[in-house]
Amino acid sequence: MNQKAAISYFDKLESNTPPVTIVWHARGNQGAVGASSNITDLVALLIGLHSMYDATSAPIFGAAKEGEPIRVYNRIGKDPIEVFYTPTKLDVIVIVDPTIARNILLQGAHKDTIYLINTDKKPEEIARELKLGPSRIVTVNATKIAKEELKTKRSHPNTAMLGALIHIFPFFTRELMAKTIENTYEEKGHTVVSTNQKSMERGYTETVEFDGREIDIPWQETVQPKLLAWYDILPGGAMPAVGNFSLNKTGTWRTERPVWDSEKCIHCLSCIPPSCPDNSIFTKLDQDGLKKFVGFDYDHCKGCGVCANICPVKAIRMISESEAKNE
Amino acid sequence: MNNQKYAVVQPGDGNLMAAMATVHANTGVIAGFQITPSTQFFEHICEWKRTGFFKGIVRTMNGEDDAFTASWQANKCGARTANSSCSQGLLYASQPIFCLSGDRCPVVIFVANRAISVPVNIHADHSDVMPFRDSGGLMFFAKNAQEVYDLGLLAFKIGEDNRVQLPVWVNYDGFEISHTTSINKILNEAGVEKIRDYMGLHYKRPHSMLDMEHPTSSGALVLPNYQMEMKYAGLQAMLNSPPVITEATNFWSENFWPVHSFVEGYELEDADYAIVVMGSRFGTVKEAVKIARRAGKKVGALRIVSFRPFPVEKVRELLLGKKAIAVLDRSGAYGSPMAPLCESVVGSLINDEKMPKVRGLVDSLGGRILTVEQVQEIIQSLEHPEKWDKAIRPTWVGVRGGDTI
Repeated sequence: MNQKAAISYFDKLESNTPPVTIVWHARGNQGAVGASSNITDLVALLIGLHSMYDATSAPIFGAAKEGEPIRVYNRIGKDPIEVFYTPTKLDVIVIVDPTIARNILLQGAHKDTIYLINTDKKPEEIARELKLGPSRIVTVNATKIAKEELKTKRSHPNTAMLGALIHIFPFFTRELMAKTIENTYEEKGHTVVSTNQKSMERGYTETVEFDGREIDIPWQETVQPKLLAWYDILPGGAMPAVGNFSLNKTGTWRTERPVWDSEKCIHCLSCIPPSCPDNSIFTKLDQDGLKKFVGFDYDHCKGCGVCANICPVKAIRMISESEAKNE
Repeated sequence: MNNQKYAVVQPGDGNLMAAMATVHANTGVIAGFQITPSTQFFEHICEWKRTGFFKGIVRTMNGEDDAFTASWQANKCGARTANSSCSQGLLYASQPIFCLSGDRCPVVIFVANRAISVPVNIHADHSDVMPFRDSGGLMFFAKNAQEVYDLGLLAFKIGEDNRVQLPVWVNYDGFEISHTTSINKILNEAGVEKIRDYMGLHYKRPHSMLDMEHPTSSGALVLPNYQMEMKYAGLQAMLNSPPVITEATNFWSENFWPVHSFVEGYELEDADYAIVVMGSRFGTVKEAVKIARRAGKKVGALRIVSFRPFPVEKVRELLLGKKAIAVLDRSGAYGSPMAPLCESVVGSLINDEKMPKVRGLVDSLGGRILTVEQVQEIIQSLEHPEKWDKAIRPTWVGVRGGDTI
C-alpha cells in the first residue's frame, strides 16, 4: 500500500488544522450509518478520557429510507470538533454503493481526495468509469465478503469496508477495530461479533491499492444541480408537473431483485399491491378473464422483498444485483 | 357615515358581526368546532344555514385540529373559507394553523381572544394568539364589534389578493367584544353586492387542487436546499400586504364608512407622552388621556390595528420624538425583557436618536379590568422615568402584592 499517503493523513491530525472529513455514500440499510458511527466509537476507544482527538459522525437522509442514496459524514481532528455543517470539502470518499450517480458521489471531491470503493471490478476499471482523475484509490469487494462471512439475507458490507479503511487511516489498528465491532455487536451474540470481525479482517487483507497518477485518467468536474430562486417557486411550493412519478426510476435503489419461477407460481396474486408497495408487478388477463402474474417492473421495484416473503409456494426469490448481471 | 345608501343598523355582539361578515363575504366552506367565547360564531352560521341565509357548506367537526385541517384543505381546493376559535382550541389546532401560511391558504380566522389554561379562565387576554404571531399570517386586532365586521369582510379581500395569499386573523377580546351587544352598521343588499363585486363572488385560487385544466401537486417534502427560498416567498407575500391593506380600507372608507387600517392615533400630534395598546382597552386608555389632557398634560394614545404586518413606518412617524411611551401588553412575558407588542414597538423605533424611553407593562390578563385610574397612574409615571422599576422586564399592572406602577 501507499504508506506515504497514509502517513500524510495521519500527520494531518494536528492542532489548528481543519479536521479530516470522510463521507460514506451508501443506500439505506447497507450499514453505512453504523460503520460511520463505529469510527467515532473507535476514536473514543482510542483516546479514552484523554481529549487527544475528537470525532463525529452525522447522517443525512432524504424522504425515503431503505434503498435511497444516503450520506454519512465523519470528522476526525486533533482539536474539539465544534462545527456541525455538512462538510463541503472531503478528504476521503467511501463509496459503499458505486451504482449511485457520479454527481452525488463526487460532490466535495478535490485533487487530494482518497477513494475507498466497494466493487468487484479492478481499481483501474472503476477509476475510469467514475472518472476519478489522478487519485489514490482503494477497492475491496465488500459485498462478496459480507455475503460469505455474515450469511445474512441482506448484504451488509459495512464491516468489510471498515477493515479496508484501516489502509487509509493506519492508526485505526485492526485490534481497535475488532474491539469496536465487539462493543457494537455484543448484544447480538458471539456469532454476530465473530463473523463481523472476520468480515473486517478479510476487508483489510483483500484490499487492492491503486495510484491514479500511474495512468492517465481524466478528472471531470461534478455538475451542480440548478436550483430555483425564491420567485421562481409557485406559491406554497405547488408543482405544475404532475403524474410523473413513473419518471423516478426507483429501480436504481435496488440491491437485490426478485426473480419469478413460472413453474412454481400458482397465480394467487398475494404479491400484488398492497403487498407490493411500489406497484411493480405486472399482471394480465388471460383468455378466461383470469388475472395472471406476468413479471416485475424492474424500473421501479426497490427490491424490498415483500413479495418473496409473502409467496406461499416460494415462487419468488431474491438475488443480488451483481448475481443478476452475471446471469 | 359617509354614504347612507349602503348601510343598515344592526345591533349585535362581536361574534354576530364576525358571522355576518362571513356570510356577506359569500364564504363557501365553514368547518367548525365551538369553544367559549367563540361559540356563537358557529351557532349563527349553523342557524343561518338552516334558514337559508348562509349558502355555503357547513360541517361540524370532531375538534379544532379537524376543523382547521378541513378549512385548510377546502381553501386549497379553492373555496372561500373562514373559521373561528380561541384559547385551548386554537392551541389544539396549532399544527394545521402553521401550515396555512406555508401552503399560502388565505383562511380568515376569527378569534375571540381568551386566556390559556392553567388556571382555567374563559375571559379575555391575548396570550392565546401570541404564540401564532410569527406563524406567517396577517393579524388584525379590532377595538369593537363594528371593526370586527369591517376588518372581517376586508380580511377575505386582503388575504385572497394574488400578491398576498396568506391567512388573516381578526382578533377581538373575548366577552368584552365577543359578547357585548352594541349598535353597529352592516351593509345592506346593495352594499353586499358592491363588496362582493369588489372582492369577487368566489375565491379564485391560483394553482387550486381542483383545477383540472392545470393540475398541480403540492405538499412535497423539501430538503435544506429549498427551505429558505420557500419561507422567503412567504415573507415577501407579507411584505406585499401593506399596499393591499391600504387599497382595501380605502375602498371601504370611500364607499361605506371610515375604517382604520394600520394604526389609530388619538391626540398624538403635540403629545410628549403616549400609551400604545391593542384591542378593546383602547377606549379605557382614551378616557384616561382625556382626563390627563383636561389637566393640561400633553399625552396621546396609539392603537395598533395591524399587528402583523407591524406598521413600522407609521409607528416611527407617530412615536419618534416623544419623551416617553408606555406599551400595554395583554399577554405575559416570562423571562423575557419585553412582552410581544412591546418587542414590536421597540423593534420599530430602534437605532434612532429620537427614540423615546419605553416602559413595558402587562395588564388585563384573563379579563382583569384595567381601570382608568390605573392608566392615569401609568401616564403620571411616564414623566418620571427615574422612578421606574430598574429590572428590565414588563411591570405587571394591578397584581396584589406585585409591582408598583
